[in-house]
Amino acid sequence: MIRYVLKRLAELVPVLWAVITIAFFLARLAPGGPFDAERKAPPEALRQIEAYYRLDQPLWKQYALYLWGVARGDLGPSFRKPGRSVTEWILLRLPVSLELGAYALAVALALGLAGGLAAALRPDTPLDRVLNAGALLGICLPSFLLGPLLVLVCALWLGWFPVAGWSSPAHKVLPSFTLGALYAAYLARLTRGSMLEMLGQDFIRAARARGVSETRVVLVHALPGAMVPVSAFLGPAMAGLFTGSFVVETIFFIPGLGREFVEAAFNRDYTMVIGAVIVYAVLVALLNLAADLVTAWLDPRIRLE
Amino acid sequence: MNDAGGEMFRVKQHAVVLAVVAGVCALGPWLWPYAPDAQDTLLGASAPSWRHWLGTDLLGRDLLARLMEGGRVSIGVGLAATLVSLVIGVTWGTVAGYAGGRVDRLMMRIVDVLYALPFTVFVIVLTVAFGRSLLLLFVAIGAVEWLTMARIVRAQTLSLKQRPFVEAVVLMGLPVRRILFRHVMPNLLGPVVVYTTLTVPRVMLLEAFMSFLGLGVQPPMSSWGTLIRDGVEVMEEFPWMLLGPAVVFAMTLYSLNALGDALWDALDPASR
Repeated sequence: MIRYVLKRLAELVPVLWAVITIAFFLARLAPGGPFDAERKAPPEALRQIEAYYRLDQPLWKQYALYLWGVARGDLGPSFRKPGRSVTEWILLRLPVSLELGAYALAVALALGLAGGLAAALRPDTPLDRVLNAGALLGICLPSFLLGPLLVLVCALWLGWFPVAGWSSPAHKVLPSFTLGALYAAYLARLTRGSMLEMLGQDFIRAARARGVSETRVVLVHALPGAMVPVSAFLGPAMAGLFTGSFVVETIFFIPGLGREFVEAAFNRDYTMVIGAVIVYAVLVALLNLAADLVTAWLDPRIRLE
Repeated sequence: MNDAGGEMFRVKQHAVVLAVVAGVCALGPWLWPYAPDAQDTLLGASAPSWRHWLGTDLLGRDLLARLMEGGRVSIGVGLAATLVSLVIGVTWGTVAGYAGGRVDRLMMRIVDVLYALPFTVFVIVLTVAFGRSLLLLFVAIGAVEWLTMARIVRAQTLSLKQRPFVEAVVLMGLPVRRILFRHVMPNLLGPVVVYTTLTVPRVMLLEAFMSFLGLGVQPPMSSWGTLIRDGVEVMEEFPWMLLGPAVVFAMTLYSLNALGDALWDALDPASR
């Protein structure tokens, strides 16, 4: 188990190196530097700036220095937001994105599992059909449509929630729901399918024949097995939730890493872009690892090697 | 799954919806009297009416005409990017599956590693590096959407390789290129077609997502993503500017996904 985790973490190193290298050279390939914008700075100042950002050194040296910095947790200075380093910016913004992702995950799990279970226990009833239609709607409404529609109806017309921002609990309802809805829909379909499959198994029939109560059959006998595909899906789902919040953060003006990243992409703030990419890659890898561990714990037949 | 007739009916139903949407977008300039860029500043933003079925935007441009023009861009990018992913995915998958052994392991390992990366992040990085052009947009999207296709094609090739007719052409001593292109790839058609129909909506979604953030299609060109973005900005005063594009976009995505699912069930590539 521990050996497996260590092995997976060791595998992460070459992947991260590849990510950093690709991102670094892609950013450097870009035509035009970040400083040849609006006003031409005097050459003397320009030279100082370039020296500060090490742009005056040969590319391979910049690359080596950058790698050395990353190894020590230093992602360099931001090109567009002086005063704070990229590491500091990320530490400032990331918690907000993680908080949003956690709420969205809670929304997705609560709605998805409850909806999927309810549909699986009453298959082919009106309830099942309503839930199925809801799940389909959730899948076909991307966050950049669902978010504005929710704002329009729940905030502007009905006035239940604030339009944008991230200061009070009321501010967090619509963004969390917007981000979580898609995954709630996927989870509901997945839970319904795998639960129905489980309930059709022989050992469930045997348990019922032994007179085990229906509640116990569902919760103790069927549910853990039905959760295996669900937890396998949770890895990519969590990765999507924690790294896919660009749109939601942009719509609701949430000061998270997603919005920072999109802004940096707009402003060609290279160090910020690469820094965010590294953080996202690490996050996705760790979440996938966590999901694999949970899946193996739920299904002892899966061997971790 | 149980009755193929019902599946084929679903396939036809969604195919008709999509054909209508695509046809109306393509023939828009001949069907509808307003040009997408014809301004009527005196009129300004007006609600849907008999003259303008979906209303007009702030500059008095007809929204239905804009929607048709946006559809041409969105569907065009969707098809072009899907084509890119198709070419990369099918080539990669066939070569890996046919070569087998160490080459296969290395190639699929690369796919596994890429799978673990956050894609939208990479598309955004690509727009930083190469600027925001339409060509780049669909090359970038295609370049990140080929992984699942490669996996499906590889699995299929592996099983084809065992079949007698492939063994026969190998024994006949045909060159590998010819075996791959003439004998293996044509037999991959079924699953490839099915998965392609599922890739188109994913690609269109990614394009709209990028355009919504302002990193995709750039003005004066418009796509459904940019129309939704424009609509969101003024949704409080002029909700029809959001609702029209939103409904058309969601409906198209739904039909594409449903078509792919129905084809999947009808042809059931897993059991072939």
